[in-house]
Amino acid sequence: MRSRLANILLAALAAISVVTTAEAQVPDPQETLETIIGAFQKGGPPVAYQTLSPLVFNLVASQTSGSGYYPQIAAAGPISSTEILDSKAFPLGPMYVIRVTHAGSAFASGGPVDWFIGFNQATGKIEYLTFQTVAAGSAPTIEKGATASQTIGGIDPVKKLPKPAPTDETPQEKALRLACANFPVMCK
Amino acid sequence: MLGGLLTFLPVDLCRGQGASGGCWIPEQDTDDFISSHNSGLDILGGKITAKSGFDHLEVALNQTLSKLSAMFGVLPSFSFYDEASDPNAKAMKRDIIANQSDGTVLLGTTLLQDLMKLPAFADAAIVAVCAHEYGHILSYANNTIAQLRPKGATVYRAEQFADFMSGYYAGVRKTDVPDFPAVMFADSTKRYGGGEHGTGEQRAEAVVEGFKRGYIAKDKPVAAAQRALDFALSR
Repeated sequence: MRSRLANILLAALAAISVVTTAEAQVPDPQETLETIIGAFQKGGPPVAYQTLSPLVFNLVASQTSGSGYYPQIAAAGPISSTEILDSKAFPLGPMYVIRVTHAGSAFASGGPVDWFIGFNQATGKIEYLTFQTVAAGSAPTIEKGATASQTIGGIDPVKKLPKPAPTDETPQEKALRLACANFPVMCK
Repeated sequence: MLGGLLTFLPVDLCRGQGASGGCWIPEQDTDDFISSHNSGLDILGGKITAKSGFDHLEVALNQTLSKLSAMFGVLPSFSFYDEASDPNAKAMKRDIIANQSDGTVLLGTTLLQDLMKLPAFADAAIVAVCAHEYGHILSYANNTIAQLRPKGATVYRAEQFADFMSGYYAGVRKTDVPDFPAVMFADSTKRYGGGEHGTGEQRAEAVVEGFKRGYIAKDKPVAAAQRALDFALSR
């Protein structure tokens, strides 16, 4: 499994290297989350892990000894529904809080689970992924952040995600930046 | 912005293919083109029109066309035409408007509207189209069109020549005005690859090579035209 994950990682890195000037499409967050949870429950299929950034991929491999399988997530049973509770755009990409209800027994405390999932909009990969059991009281928000002890690749989305291109770039500046990347001799 | 840039820039798109297979119209096809686009040469009443629909554009465009004429040493008539669903621009050897100059350049109003919707540097894209068409006119004027497209050949080399000259214009303008967005010529031209014009990459390469002759080598127009011919014939 370890070598299989390594192969997937290489494929993921190769895919990232292709993404240069064009911005990748951020995938549907609910669909993507359902896919990756399913993979965590079964330890595959390998293609599902290609939705993870190299950093998260390595963390998953480390936390599961290369299997990609989380017994506690598998114990929750199949997903019966998902609901987006919160979302926010960050310079690196969008972040979502998604409540996932499973058909089987829930995690340790019972009930649904709230996932925090963040995407890199330049690559379309999952850059941030963690979950917590649903606590009584107010619903989780991105501002408050994840507080669960069980995390997968937890990266503080506000404090630690690197900032890519400035967001106040005008259409003209963006057009010139992309064109100059393709034809640098014309911008000297 | 439009006025300022159009004063400086030239662009070229020439995306669709007419019956002649290019965005320039061979002499033998000119009558057919006229009859299909302009009933009885009633220029203002037919499909060929003197108005673009963008009044603020026309003053700046006139200034740019004057620069193109001066640089390339040609004086074609220029007008707009309704090309309907085939966004395009055309160059023909015959002057169907004023009967006094080096042929005719027609800029399609549909193409113009498409370009005006670009989020940035619409003016550069429009001028690039015009420069490309003036490149075709130059090939008529200096009689290189026979070499570029001998009987039975495709229009590819003629298009490469026009793209090269469009890039040359951008290079000269950038020499005069350092922040001139010459790179948008290659960028916009690349988007309109396909068919006998060549791929987007081939078209952009021609623009870049022309730019080098104008901006780096500082070629005079006649020398640049010879470079353009050599480049196109090597393709």
